[in-house]
Amino acid sequence: MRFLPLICRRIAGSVLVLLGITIVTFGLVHSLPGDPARALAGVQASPRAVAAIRAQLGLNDSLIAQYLRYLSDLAHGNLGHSYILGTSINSLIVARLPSTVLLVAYAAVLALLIGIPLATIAAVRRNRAADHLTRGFLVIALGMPSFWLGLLLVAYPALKWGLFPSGGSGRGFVNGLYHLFLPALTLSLTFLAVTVRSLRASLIDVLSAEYVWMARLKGISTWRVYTRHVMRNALRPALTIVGLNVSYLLGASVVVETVFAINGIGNTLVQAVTQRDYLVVQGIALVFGALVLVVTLAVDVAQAALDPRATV
Amino acid sequence: MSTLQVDRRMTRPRLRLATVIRPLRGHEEPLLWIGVTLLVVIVLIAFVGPIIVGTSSTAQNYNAILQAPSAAHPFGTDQYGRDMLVRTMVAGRLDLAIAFGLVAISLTIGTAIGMVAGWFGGWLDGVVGRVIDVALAFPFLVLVIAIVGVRGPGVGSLFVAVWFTGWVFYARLTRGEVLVARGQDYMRAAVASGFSRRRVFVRHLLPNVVIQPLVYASSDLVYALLLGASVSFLGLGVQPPTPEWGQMVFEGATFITTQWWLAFFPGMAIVVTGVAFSLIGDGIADRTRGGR
Repeated sequence: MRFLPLICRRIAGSVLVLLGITIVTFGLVHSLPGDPARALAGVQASPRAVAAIRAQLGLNDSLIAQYLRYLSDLAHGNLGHSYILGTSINSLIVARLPSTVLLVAYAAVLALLIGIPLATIAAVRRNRAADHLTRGFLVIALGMPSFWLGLLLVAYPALKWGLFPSGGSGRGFVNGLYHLFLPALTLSLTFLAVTVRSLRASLIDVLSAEYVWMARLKGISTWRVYTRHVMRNALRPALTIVGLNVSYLLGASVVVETVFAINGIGNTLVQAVTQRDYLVVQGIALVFGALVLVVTLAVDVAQAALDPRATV
Repeated sequence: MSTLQVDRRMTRPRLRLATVIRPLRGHEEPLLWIGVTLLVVIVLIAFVGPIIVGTSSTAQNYNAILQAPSAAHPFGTDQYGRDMLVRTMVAGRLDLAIAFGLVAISLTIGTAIGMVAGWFGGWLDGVVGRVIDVALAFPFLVLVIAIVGVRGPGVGSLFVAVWFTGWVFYARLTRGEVLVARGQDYMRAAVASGFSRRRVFVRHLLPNVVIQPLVYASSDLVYALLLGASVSFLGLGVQPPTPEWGQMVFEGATFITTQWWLAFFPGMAIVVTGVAFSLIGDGIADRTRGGR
């Protein structure tokens, strides 16, 4: 296991970043103007309820003591309690995280399914009509607000033509894929604009590689050169590009979930912000940060495992 | 073999500020020309258009409620009988100001922090590096929403959130450029000439390290536009009755199956402006590649 020390170093680095993330989420709630206990309890809470929350959260202790208590709660897997929804934040996230993960993974797969052929055509027919068309499509996709595109998709294919459900995430996997098709398509289009360009560049690199010339010189058919030699070598950078942009995808999922009324953590975040449910905001921000960290780490490890030349 | 391995950085011709910022040559850079022209037209429509049309963006007319697009109201009217064309044009002022404002803040703070961290190094650089790592671990929109959530909705909160978070991309970029520039002869010459630190920084370092952040800023405009509109769409940015494209799409969402024009035109305005911005970003990036 040559790359084991490498992975250990990356994990250690990620733990440090995770600590940093907890400082940010802790600071988020503690930068609330006025009395955090009052803010957390909600507008209609009685003074007694506020005092109870203050005692329960240890808000009278020093900031350091409060942070350590927050860390120890997190280490025990406890994200706190929502005083406004009256549930534990853990159960809230456990219930809503699967929809978000499914949506984001679905969008990533769709983006690859659309993006790889698109990037291949653009790279092979470089500076020709197909390349320019792709570029034009990407320019429009980049400027397209996902909430507007999503709204139009809800209005026409879903509500007017009845081809798809207009919201929700469905039950079970297959039904979920059907329910989430329009949202995932919306999300993947915003993502395409970000990824196809890098994909095209990495494909151009592969196309000009010596082993591709060699394969052509040997008289292998064009199709076979693309499927066996080009694709195989372009897929790894493609996965990396998706992995590195997962943070963008997760951010965009917040808007898409809201438009399509999907009960994921992004939609919950927006609701929590509107209801001033700060502990839920804190918990979800932490989960988003941790998600990005885990995916980035996984991509790095996969890189190291797949490519002996990779230095993380 | 070893004699053939040349450091790419050594052979790459030094990018000059004048390569990126120079007059537009329309016949050589058609995409950039289209982008700039489109943006100029959008700015003119947003600032001069409402004056020509002559109606107010807030004037209510209960004799013309929810009217479909017609000669009198090309973009239709809303549930208060307000003219959607004027509202869309007036909203453009705010959206353009937010996009340019957010990018300007991030560019200024990020370049400054990146220059200081890269030049002085040491613990300062270490701290900045860790802060960047942590900030990049969050999806940008999530961080902005969380900060806006704690401070309460509004354009002010949006700017504060970006003030806190937007600089990291620029700082990371600038820091890398400073590390490259430090070792170059022209920087050593400037230091050896005994120029004041301020002169070295402003006259010699800044023009060389600001190129990449400027190029990034030009491509960042479209993201800033979408960020401002998205946050307002979520009800956390610009508040009604002030017209803003994202917030107008949100208000029109309830009517989408019956009065489609309410959400359609503000959204189209975002798309057209976004296309102008991304053409400009692409065109500026092309300049750094020297016509490749």
